[in-house]
Amino acid sequence: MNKYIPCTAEEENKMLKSIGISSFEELLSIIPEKFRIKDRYNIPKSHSEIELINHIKTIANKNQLGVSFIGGGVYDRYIPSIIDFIASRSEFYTAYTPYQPEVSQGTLQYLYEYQSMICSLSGMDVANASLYDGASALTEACLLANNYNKKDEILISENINPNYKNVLKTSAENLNLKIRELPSSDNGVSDISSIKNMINTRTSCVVIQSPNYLGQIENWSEVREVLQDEKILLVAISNPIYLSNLKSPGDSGADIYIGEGQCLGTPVSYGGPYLGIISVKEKLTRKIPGRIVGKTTDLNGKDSFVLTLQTREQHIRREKATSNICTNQGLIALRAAIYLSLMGAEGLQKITQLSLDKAYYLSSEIDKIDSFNLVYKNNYIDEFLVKTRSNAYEIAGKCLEKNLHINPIDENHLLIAVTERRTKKELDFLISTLRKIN
Amino acid sequence: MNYPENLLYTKDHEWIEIKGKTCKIGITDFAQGELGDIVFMEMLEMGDSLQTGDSAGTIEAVKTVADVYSPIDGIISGLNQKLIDTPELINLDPYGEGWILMLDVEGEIDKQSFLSVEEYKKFIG
Repeated sequence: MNKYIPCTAEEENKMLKSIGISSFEELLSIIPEKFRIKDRYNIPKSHSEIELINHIKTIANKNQLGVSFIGGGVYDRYIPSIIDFIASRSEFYTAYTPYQPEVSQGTLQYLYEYQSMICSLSGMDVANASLYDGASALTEACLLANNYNKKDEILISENINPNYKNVLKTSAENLNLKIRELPSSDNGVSDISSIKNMINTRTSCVVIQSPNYLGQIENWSEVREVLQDEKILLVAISNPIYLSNLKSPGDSGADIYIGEGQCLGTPVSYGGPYLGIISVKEKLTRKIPGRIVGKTTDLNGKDSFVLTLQTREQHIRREKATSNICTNQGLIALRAAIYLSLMGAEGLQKITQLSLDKAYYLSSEIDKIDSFNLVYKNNYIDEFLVKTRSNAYEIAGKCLEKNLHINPIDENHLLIAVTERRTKKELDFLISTLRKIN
Repeated sequence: MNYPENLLYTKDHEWIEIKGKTCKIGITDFAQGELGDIVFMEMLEMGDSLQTGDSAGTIEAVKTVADVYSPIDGIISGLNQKLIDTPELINLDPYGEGWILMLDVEGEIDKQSFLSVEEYKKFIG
């Protein structure tokens, strides 16, 4: 074991002596007794490789593959096999951000292409090389707005993803940012008419998600019109898949777009890794957090790629930087770039259409069952809200017994998402299962 | 390096030209040389009110950023719009075309609070 410890007993004694104590135990004495482990760690003795593999396989076999109708931010979409093939190539497979353009041209090029595709989808001028996930991207967007106009009130729609709200609230608490909620109207979209009364001289930005957490499409353009004051920024949250069909955030007058990029070729898993997407209008270029890859020419006039505008970042701008993020989610951004270039605008439109057709079939069939009611009859794409007569958690539990995963958001509501992966057979199985529960 | 006689200076390397109640402000030849190639100038807005020591704008060079500090209390009455497209004027002509902002000052201006050209030259050594 000794060779893994970077100092000898003699060196250790020397260090202890120089800080005026006599033993390592004495150094630890500041830690309260109740937090100290007295006996050995309770871990079993070591196994051989064969024993270990058998053990892990036994655990893995307990997993049951279900059929997912869960959405709420992450989606079980089809992942073309070429994504795993390209992304696992050793030239790309690294967790690190490239600092040296001389040896990272391939990595920088795919990040540049990722940024370009995100800008084109969202109708914005500048995208960064990615953030951690949708929720942290929202927090960064609000910090950006605060840094831009020095105002401290954030008006968020009641209908944005509750996980995003929680992450934002956690960060805001220690940053003296005040968060207010714009109420939802009866038809499941933000009550735009009350914006006027809620904004004031301290309002920094307004955050609207479309489709929102309940699946309903919102109207960014109307919000922009109500805002009038150009210094108040409009932050648009959306699922990137739908942006080829919806009027883009940029064209709708939004200043910042953020989204969760998991649906672009990355599987659903507990806690990620996911992909935070952010893009902004040109006036915010010097405030956008994280890394940006730029395209330029080298000494011989050939195209080349570099990390650019680094003076925005914390290691140079210090405490005046918008964010302390100096990294990105490179590998997941690579998957998104491959996915987007495979699909193109046409492919994204087809995926949306397929999902929408299936969702409307499923929702109308569920609506026919006595004890289930579709809450909003239209204005959604592929995720919708169902009101239940009996306890929604118990219904979800009964579905789980049939390997059907659905998402109860409270005691009387199920949020059901349908992706292009769901087959007619699976939809019909969910319908017949719910009918029996009726 | 060039340090005009008619200007006053600060330890933060700004120069000040006083005409009546108006102060014209820029950064010195020494400061632009230390920063290197200037690529962007982030300015405040007309009418903004500044206290001595407040940031009066941010200069972005290729490898670093630096604030311009307001040498006096005042209200912004002029901004050099040419710097939006050609921030390199600060490098090329720091006391002329490369001026940064003008402040309107209320009350008496205490010239003793600034450095004279001799004092500034001595300060930068």
